[in-house]
Amino acid sequence: MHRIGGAITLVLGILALVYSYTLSLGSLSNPAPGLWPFVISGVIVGCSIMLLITERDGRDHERFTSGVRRIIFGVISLSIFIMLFEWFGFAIPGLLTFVFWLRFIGNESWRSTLTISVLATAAFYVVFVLLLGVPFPRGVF
Amino acid sequence: VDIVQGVASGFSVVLDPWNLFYVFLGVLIGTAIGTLPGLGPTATIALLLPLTFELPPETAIIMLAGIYYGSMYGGRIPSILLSLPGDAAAVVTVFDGYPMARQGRAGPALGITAIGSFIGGTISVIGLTLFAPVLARWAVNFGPPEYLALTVVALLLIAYLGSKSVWKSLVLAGFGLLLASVGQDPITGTSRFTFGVTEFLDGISFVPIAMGLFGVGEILYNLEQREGMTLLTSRVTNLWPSLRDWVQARGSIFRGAGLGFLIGILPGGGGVVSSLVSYGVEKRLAREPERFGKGAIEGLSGPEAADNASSTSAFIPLLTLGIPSNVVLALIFGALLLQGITPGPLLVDENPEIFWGVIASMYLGNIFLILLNLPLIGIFVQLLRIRGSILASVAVMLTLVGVFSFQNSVFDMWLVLIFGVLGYLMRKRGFEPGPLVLAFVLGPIMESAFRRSMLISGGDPSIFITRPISGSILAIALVVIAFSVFQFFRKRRSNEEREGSSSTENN
Repeated sequence: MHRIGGAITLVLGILALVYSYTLSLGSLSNPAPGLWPFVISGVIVGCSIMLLITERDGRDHERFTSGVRRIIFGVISLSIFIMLFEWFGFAIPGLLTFVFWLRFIGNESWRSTLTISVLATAAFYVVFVLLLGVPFPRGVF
Repeated sequence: VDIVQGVASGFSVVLDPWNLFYVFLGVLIGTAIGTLPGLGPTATIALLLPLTFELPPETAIIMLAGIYYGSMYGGRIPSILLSLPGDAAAVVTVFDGYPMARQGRAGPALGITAIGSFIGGTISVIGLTLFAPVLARWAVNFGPPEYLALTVVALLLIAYLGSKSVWKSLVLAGFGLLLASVGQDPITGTSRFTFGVTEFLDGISFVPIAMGLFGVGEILYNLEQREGMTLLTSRVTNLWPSLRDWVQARGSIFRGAGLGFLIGILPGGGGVVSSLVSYGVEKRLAREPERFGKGAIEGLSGPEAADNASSTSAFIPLLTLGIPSNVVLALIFGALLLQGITPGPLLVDENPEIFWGVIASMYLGNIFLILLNLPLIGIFVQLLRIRGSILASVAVMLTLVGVFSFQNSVFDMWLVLIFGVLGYLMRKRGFEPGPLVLAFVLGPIMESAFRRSMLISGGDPSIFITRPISGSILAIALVVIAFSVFQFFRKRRSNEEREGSSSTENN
């Protein structure tokens, strides 16, 4: 299993090699767009092969623990945030995301969750909208 | 005389009240995030990239530099008090710092490291002041072949010195270069690796990649191993080391400063390597090496001086050659590129306010830092009480909103999230994302150096070997590769021998 990293990079390297070849290579004295990526892909393929040969155990390879659940929920909540952000602006999606991260990922008490979420959302609003003038998508606020 | 004038002009930049404020802000943020375990200087600088875009370039680099060397001061605080290194360079500080704290000497440990950091940092800035203009003048004559050789060697050295697996680093460096070639070909305009996505036509911006891999990637990674509340047990009293402590530590501080300065110039040498080397040297020189690991003060002060010195001298290759020697400097390099400034040998003449401004800011920054780290240390110690969950939620939001503010693009937010997940998975598999980002920053320079070299030589690749400077740079690279291959086989042989003789030994 520890070889999966090297295997993935090897496959990606080969795909990139083929793709660069289709861009046309030209010659050394008159390089076409594909030459540089072709050389780089070659290096990736070579180093991936060396990686597969030399990595004999999974020493620097960490197991996934039960904490992975928090990451999955975290990533899902951030994806939802980005979608909501596009439609409703920052204030409400931001507040909801803070609440989710603090209460359900961070296990904070409801009291500190609500206090911190409101303060943080307000602080973000002040910094980004009022001070920096970032044009957030128009939402409820 | 040139140098005196330069430094004077640098101080006139820094003494502008706004710049003064940003030096202070930088070193303050640096000490704070160095103190907080779980958010290192790389992640912080990545998070702040979009905001620096709003500042004038010299102000931006002055602040980012302050965050970097400030974090070297801060990293020692959790190492000494909690045995939790605030960043990779502070791992060595745990060896003797934590035992000292356990013996009730947390105060002197924090005091001597603050003094050591100050001396190391200041000696290194003096070295930088004297050495950088000379190197820049020499490097003005470099042509494309020299640049390609230099960047290749920098990547090789970083892969070799800066990581656990050379091959993993090189593979990632390759992907960094490949990602950098996404978009239109610089000469013909043909689109490459865009796969019909219009947002990719102008290339992928450095900002979402860095913010994703370092910012979100690191936050997700820390989310998985949530540690319980860390207990602050040592009381910090009496910061001043005794005269005996100082006499014992003095030599190590100056040796550490010298070593750190030299090692910091090498690509991949900053931080970790310099503090490890200094620790090794001090242990070898010590009259009673068995004290090391049990609270030897020189095992603490030497590495601290060294990592501060190296974080300063690491600016030499960036300011004179335009080559970032580690990930943090790659981010600073990227921040300057965003502002339309390409660091290199011409920087000292074309943008003296940046070149001399950042150098002068380091003299002041170190003074601010010793003030923050001696009288005000108590405030930073309180930071250790901030809970990880709060830090993570604020940091992750700062990343997403921050990247949006950079180009007002929701697409960039998705990129950050995708690179964040990638960064997390890479870390789990032992692929440190540093070389990828470094190579990504260097990619366009390397490709154009390659193509221009080929134009100069009419397609003859021997140009890289026959030009004296690029030839000797590549020769050094070959020696390094040969050495690492040799080491690999030696290690393998000794592993096999050990496995044959006994299986109880670990390590």
